[in-house]
Amino acid sequence: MTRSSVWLIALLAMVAITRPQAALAAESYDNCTGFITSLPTTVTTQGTWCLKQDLNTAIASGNAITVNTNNVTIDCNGYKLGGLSAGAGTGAVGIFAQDRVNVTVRHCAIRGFFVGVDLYGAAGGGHLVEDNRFDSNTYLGMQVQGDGSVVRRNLVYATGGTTQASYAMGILVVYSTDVIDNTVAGVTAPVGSNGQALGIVVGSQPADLRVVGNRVRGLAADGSATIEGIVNQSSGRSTIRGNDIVGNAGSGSVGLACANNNSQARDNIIAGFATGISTCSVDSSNYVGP
Amino acid sequence: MTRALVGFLFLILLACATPRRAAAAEGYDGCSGFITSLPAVIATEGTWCLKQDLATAITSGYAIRINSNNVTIDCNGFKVGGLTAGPDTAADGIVAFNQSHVTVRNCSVRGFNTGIWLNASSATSAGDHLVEDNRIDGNTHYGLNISGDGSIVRRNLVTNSGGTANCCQVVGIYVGYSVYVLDNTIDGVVSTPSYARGIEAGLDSASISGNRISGVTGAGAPSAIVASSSDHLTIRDNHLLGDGSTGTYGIYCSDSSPIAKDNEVNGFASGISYCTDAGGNDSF
Repeated sequence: MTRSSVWLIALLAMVAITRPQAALAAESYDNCTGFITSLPTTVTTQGTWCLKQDLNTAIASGNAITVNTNNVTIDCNGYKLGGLSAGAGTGAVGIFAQDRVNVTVRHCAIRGFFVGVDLYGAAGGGHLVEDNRFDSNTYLGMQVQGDGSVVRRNLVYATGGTTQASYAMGILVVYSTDVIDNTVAGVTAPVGSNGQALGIVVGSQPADLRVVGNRVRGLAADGSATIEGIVNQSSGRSTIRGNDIVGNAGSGSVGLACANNNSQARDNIIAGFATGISTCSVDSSNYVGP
Repeated sequence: MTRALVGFLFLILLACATPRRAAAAEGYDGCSGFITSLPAVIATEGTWCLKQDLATAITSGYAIRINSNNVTIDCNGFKVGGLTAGPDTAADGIVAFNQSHVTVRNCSVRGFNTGIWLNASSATSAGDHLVEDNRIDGNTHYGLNISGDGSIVRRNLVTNSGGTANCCQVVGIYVGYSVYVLDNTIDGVVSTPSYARGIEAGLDSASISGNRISGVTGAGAPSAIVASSSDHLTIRDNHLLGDGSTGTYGIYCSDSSPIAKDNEVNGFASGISYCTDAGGNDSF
């Protein structure tokens, strides 16, 4: 074998070995900085922290996962973060961060907490909460605070049943957080609370945001309280477009409520509310029916 | 250069030219275990994966039966095949009865009576299912049959449903209770002896949005979307193509409770029937 032949073989072998392979899916662990293997836990190092198994805790207060630094991703890879065993009186939070920036929560199945995800604090922002399944959280599916945050493609299912509050909400956002393409299916106020059931709520703090393409139904208040599908309490300029909001035609119920007419409502389907749209700026593209 | 060397070089070049397996886009890290033969029963929660194509010739029963809550079937793009049982098979592909929190994703399910069947006997007996990113091909009765409150059926490709001469109606996607049917593509739903439906929503379903349906033909009133019993089901942003045949329906509602908005309905004898027209529909 000549020297040139050896070099040719070596070159071809290197090409074969180093040829790029297709990217791995998010379900791969390749990009995980580390793993969360027990609850409760605190994350203090930035990076992507993954689950590789279902995790459960019976804590009735505190947080299953506390994020104590910026730039953290919690990727559950579809696994469950469970708190059901604490019961209806739980005050525990599934994933919590306060005044952090750039927190991401994705691919989590979060069940049975007082609040599923709570990214709290005006000093925080830039959060991304996507592709999660929230199930049977007792008071609130998720709260996301902070400018520049996005909540998208989550399923918030069967929220309610707490004994620690008098009402229940699917999604609560504060400051300029976009809420896009989520499904809120079932929010039930506690029995005997005479409390409201609210689908998606925008807090009263200053916010310019978009609530687009969400589906809200299955709201059930208690006693004489009312249901409200989407509530924008902020006086900022917001777009509320392409949402499907279905109620139970209860007395006093409101499909879409705004603090003032700075918020524009377009292309929404709103059915089964005593009042379809309240105070928002509207045009003929919305459907409001019985 | 020797003949052996030439042969070696040829093999290396062949290795370079052969496409890598498509499933390289998936990882196995998140798998609790693997399904390596059919039929299989899953009785433990977790993520159960395929790492190869699997096929069975059973003509009744189930290729994969899920007997637990909180189960994910991730086929990583591989096939769960039942074609060899023939067009009159009574076997179903992936099934669960009254289990909750079931996910089926990245599966290619072919040649069964029903491709994926997640059944709920009542609105509260099961739910919170997620059926996404599957390719459902050549199933003879139902492509997908999904029931249970809060379930989502999204981004599936359902093709070539039908083909049995002995049985009944053919439906691309059937949903019951509060199920959301989002961003699916259905092409080819054929029933010779009975009716054919692209998507059928019964029992108070929730939303049919952003789907694309074509090639629905059959003996009795072929319809792209049928809302047979619904509580303000919303039908929005769907693109429906028919062949203009007599007796066909784009969207058929059993009463005015379902709400249709911003749909494009092209090539049906009746565009939108009985549903509430919320505007923005384009029927021609």
